[in-house]
Amino acid sequence: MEQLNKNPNSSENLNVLETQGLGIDFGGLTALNALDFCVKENEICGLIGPNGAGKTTLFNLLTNIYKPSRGSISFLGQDTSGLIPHQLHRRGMGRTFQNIRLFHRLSVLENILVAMRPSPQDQRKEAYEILRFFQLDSQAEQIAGNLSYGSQRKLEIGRALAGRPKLILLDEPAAGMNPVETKVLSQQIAQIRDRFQVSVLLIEHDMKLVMDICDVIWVLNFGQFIAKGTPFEIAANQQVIEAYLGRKESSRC
Amino acid sequence: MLKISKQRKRWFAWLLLSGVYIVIMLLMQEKMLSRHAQSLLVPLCINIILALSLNIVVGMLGELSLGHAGFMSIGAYAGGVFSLQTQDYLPPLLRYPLAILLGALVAGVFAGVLSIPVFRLKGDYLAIVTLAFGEIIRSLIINFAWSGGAAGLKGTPRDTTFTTAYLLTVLVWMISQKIYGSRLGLEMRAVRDNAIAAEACGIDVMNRKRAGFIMAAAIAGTAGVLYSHYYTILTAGVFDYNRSIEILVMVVLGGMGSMFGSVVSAITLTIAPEALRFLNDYRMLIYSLLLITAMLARQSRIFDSLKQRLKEVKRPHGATE
Repeated sequence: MEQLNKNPNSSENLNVLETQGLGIDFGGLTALNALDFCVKENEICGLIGPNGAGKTTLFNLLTNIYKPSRGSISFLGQDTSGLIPHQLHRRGMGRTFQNIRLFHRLSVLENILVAMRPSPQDQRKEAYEILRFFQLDSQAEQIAGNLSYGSQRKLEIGRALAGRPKLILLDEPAAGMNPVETKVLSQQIAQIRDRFQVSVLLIEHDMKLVMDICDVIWVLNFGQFIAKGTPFEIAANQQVIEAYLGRKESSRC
Repeated sequence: MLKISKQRKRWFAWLLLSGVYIVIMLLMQEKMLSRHAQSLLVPLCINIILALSLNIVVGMLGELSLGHAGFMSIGAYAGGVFSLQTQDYLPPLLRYPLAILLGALVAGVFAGVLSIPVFRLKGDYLAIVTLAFGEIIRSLIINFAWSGGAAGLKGTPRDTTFTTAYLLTVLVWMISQKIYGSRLGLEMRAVRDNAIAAEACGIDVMNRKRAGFIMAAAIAGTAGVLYSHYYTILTAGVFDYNRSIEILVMVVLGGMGSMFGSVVSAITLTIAPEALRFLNDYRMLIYSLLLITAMLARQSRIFDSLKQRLKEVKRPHGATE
């Protein structure tokens, strides 16, 4: 485990994002039940859980795509209820999607520019800086839809960073990537925090990535948190192991 | 390097545009254009303007609107009625620009009101609602007294000349170029590519859609004013859904989102039916066949590879940074 990338004093930092008693029902089904959740400043926070646990639902609640049935969300100390997703972006929340959603007919550069806050100044320089960070600057003039899958994922993260957010939400950033690409990506995510002064909340199934770069991991199962802690604590947590692998009479774990 | 080539391009464009104008004027002066060909010049400009304006909705916003002729008729009647009422007081030099502005304004206002409920809908539903809108406008105009009813609005002063139509076409061309390259245009194209992602990137999707829709309608209204001040007799029947589809075909054939393509196909589709007149009864049949062939050719990769080749030639100049 790379301890180098960890932020040593993250526990003393302020909450960027906080939920209290957050929950949502779909018809009679309680998808998420009374969640108290937080992401601290400059923290890389991982959200894991088996399929159907409610991870993406929580994302959609945090980004105001769904309206919560109960509880509240506060972002940078302000209640976010009633805000439209684009207003949330202006307040400093960027996100990526599980299935890539690029502006596929715009150029790579335009994909970044359009997500920046409108300004009378030329923003190309700043946009190129983001592209350079992801080694996409040589492809700036290309149409985004023509990029390789891995590059598209990176461009989407770059786009999420373009609005100078305080928090970015990454929905399975390594999905569909090969191990080498995943490794590069995980290093880049770890660097993002320092380079762009941003907190990161990520959903990911690639355990190695999560364990390598997260400061804190929250484990969701059946719409409830069953554990929270450092990667080390989570790896040893009996409940988490059961949630993923099931319980066995003669458990050898 | 880039700046010089851009400037050169602009000079070249101005040269070309004024060249075309001078040649056509000379041809008219020397009576080398047939009466028939001359009568096509203004409709040609009107069609280019219409295609360019619909291209904002279909090409840049990616929404299907089937009621574009409705906005054109609103502009045509607003401008026409205004000119009829004021022709005794206002000199043509003042009256005509005012009529154009009014036509654009009224069409834009109608689009603004319509866009509130309409953009809650998406895709096919939007297309159907705009189609219905065009038909409603047509029926209303037939039944109002101030519009001349079914007999039509007669006596509108003939203010539209080739010169004014040409100037307006160039202006609309410049405006659409400007929109395309602007922040607004960029955001509209982002909405077209992925509305959910656009929302997550801080773009007010509903607002951008409405803005594009209103601009397109205002420009179509201008085309309507040109129309009513050219033919001087206005009947609501010409603005039916066939007309809307005709404009849509121009945009689609020209390649959605391509302004140059819209212009070329507007010219082609205006001239083709006339050029085929010698076929007599078979005219529309051959025209439809040509249209189908053109669409199929567009879809095949012929044009794409041609475009690619052009781009490769251009690349060395166009490289940035």
